[in-house]
Amino acid sequence: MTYAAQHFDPAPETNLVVPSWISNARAQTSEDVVFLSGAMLGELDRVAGYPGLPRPLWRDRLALWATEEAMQIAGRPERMADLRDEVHLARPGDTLGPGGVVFADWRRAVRTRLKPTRGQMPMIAASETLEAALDADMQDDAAALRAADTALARAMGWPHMVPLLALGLAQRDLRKRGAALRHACGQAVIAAGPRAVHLAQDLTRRAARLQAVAPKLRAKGAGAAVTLFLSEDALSPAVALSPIIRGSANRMTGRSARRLCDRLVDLGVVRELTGRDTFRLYGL
Amino acid sequence: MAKDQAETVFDRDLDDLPQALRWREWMARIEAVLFASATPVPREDLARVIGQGVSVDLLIDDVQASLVDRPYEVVAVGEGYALRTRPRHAAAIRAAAAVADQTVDLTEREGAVLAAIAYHQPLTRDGLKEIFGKEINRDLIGRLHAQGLIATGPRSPRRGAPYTYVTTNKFLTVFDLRSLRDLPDVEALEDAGLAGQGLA
Repeated sequence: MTYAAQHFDPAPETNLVVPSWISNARAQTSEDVVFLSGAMLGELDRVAGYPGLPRPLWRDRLALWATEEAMQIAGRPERMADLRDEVHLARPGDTLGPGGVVFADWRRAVRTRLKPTRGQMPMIAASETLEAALDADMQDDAAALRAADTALARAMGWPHMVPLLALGLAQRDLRKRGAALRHACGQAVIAAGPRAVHLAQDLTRRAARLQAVAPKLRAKGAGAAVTLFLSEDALSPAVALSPIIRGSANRMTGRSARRLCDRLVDLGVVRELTGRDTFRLYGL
Repeated sequence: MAKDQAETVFDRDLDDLPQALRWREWMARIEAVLFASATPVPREDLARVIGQGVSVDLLIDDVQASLVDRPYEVVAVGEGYALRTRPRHAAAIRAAAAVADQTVDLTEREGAVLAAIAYHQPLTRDGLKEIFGKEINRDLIGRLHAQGLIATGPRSPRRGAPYTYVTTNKFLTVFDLRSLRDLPDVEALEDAGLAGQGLA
């Protein structure tokens, strides 16, 4: 898309763009919505299977976005930075606040392995699941959206849920039922799709850069840390990397974890996300 | 508790009963569990005493309907349900029984601090100081804690990593809220002149 980006790494991104005939089209009638949401799902299916995409990280970041939307719908003041602090800095056994609980639920949901359903139209499955969940519990919109996105992913045959409806549906949409809700779900996919694809493109490029510098890292356990960076929205060196790198048997001291993160920032492959001097969080 | 033992012989599905009787038995079980519990019972726990895949909500609706002429009712609290006397009998209960330890006794200041925590949680004492413009003493926080209305939440990412405060399920029960979404809308309060800009 941009010249500078192409110059940096031409191969992996050229295909991760929503075709303009989808992204520029304006859906007016309900047929348009059905058609475009189908086209968008086709694109997302291709993107979700894209070879260089760090899928767990992509889903984790989308889960963060979905949580922020859910917070706005619920009228809670927590925003992305607060949610990240709560969840990524929590040590095992810590209690989370109300926003952190929702983010943790989303993260668990996108990590759950799904079985595909057969013979269901994805958008219908999603909107019917959403309607049933909203009727069952008017209070827990986030849970209803998770159920809907899960139904969508299963009907698409994806092995994991990808938060999409949760990104595109507004509070007023959740009061709709039947055909109106189906229409809103279609529009939600059309609206959320390009955001998800753009994120996929960005993360694919960043992941490629991280993997390119990985062999140069000399810290012990750097490989395990890189793997973790490719699967989690953000990492706290003190919580996720030391004394043991999460999900591995590698030990790392707090000091070497901080040094590794600083080195990755210097190399321009990882960003510090909080802007603070202490309690820092790093991520792609 | 000999929970595991009991579960091996406990018949959830009641396959030997006709449909109508089975439903009545499930309703009775739910009511019994709610009656026996002093705290709200989570929906998952209720699902464990009835048939696999049977809707807890439908059963709750029927239990509720069967209690219309009784002095108590089923209410949804947080993620679960509780059996509770109807509010109009409050005076009678208060006159007859010592329920002082169940009621929550808050001063105006404590109420204000609790409201601030509810809206802005997770919130530290520093955060409270910013809202109220002065230090909130530990005793006040301690009293809210002792009444079970607040609990410590995650640590705040600043110097000294102070603990934050969050509201508890008991807070929801006491103020008759199903979730934090039931808190009065801040914008509506502002419009009504009940809240200042600082609280938003």
